[in-house]
Amino acid sequence: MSDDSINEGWDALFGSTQAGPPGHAPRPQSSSNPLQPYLELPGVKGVLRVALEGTILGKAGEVDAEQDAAMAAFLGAAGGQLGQVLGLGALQYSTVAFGSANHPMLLLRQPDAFLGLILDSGISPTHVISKLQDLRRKP
Amino acid sequence: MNSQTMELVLHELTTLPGVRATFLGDAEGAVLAAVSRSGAEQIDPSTPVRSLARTLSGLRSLRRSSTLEIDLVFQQGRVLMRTLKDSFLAVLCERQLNLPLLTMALDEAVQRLGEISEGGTSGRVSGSEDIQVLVQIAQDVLGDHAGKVIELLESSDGSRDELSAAIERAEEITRLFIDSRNAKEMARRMRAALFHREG
Repeated sequence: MSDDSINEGWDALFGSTQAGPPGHAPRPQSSSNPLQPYLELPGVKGVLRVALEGTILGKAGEVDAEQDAAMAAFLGAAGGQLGQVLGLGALQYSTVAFGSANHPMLLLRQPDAFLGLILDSGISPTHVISKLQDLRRKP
Repeated sequence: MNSQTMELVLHELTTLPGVRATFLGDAEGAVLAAVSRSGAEQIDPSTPVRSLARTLSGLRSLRRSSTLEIDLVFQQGRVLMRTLKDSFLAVLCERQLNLPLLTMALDEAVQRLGEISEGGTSGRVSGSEDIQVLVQIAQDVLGDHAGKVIELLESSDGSRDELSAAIERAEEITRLFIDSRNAKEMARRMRAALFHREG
């Protein structure tokens, strides 16, 4: 997995005004939630979009909205600070797993928000990232 | 924990391709051990360890889970973190590297550090070795400010009664003059170490 391809994926995913994954045709009105397409990725059971200060901007699927939003905003902010401290630049994405009883979260940094994907326990976050890239490659 | 053994575990991790530095910190943000890759720029671990400890503390309070695995990917690098019982291990590495290999080595290191930790606090030792265990805890918690407490512990004859009294005095001195926030935690860890030794 090259950095360039990841960055292209992020740009495509988060640089546009569309909140859903690229490669998906516009949905009929019955599926107006722009986060809904992320649920079609294998291993994703919930998704939420959170403003940088923790306000919930949208959610779909199985999400513990308040707790997951707080975690996304906190981890995003803390990760950003750590990147500055270590001179590693901006945070691009992060995964956090709490033992085996909880579902891991894949956190993606958007320009003005965080996107949190709640994953099935057995799924590898790398696999989900790879699927996001596949979506990017679709015509 | 035995600091030399801890550093050995960290050193082994740091020799893996793509790893720049490894840090072992406690929940309060004190550096227990740190190793930077030889030949590379040496990284001061104090600020990142404090930052990581704060992150862990915040996440634990949100999920009330002691076991945490975090992978942070930045523009110019990556940080992987795993929790131990009362501490955490963090690896600073290149963004692109053999992640499965590093993850495997990291899990193994966590297991070994856990065993060292258990051995250190179970303390099948006596007399002067007990004092050394307590001195290590004082250094872990107070860092450069541990001198007075160490002096107090080393003036003890190593008997249980004297060590218990020394811990009490150390807690009081620490609370009043050195680090009021961590005095209680230091004493708790010291008493736990003695308790395990007795058991």
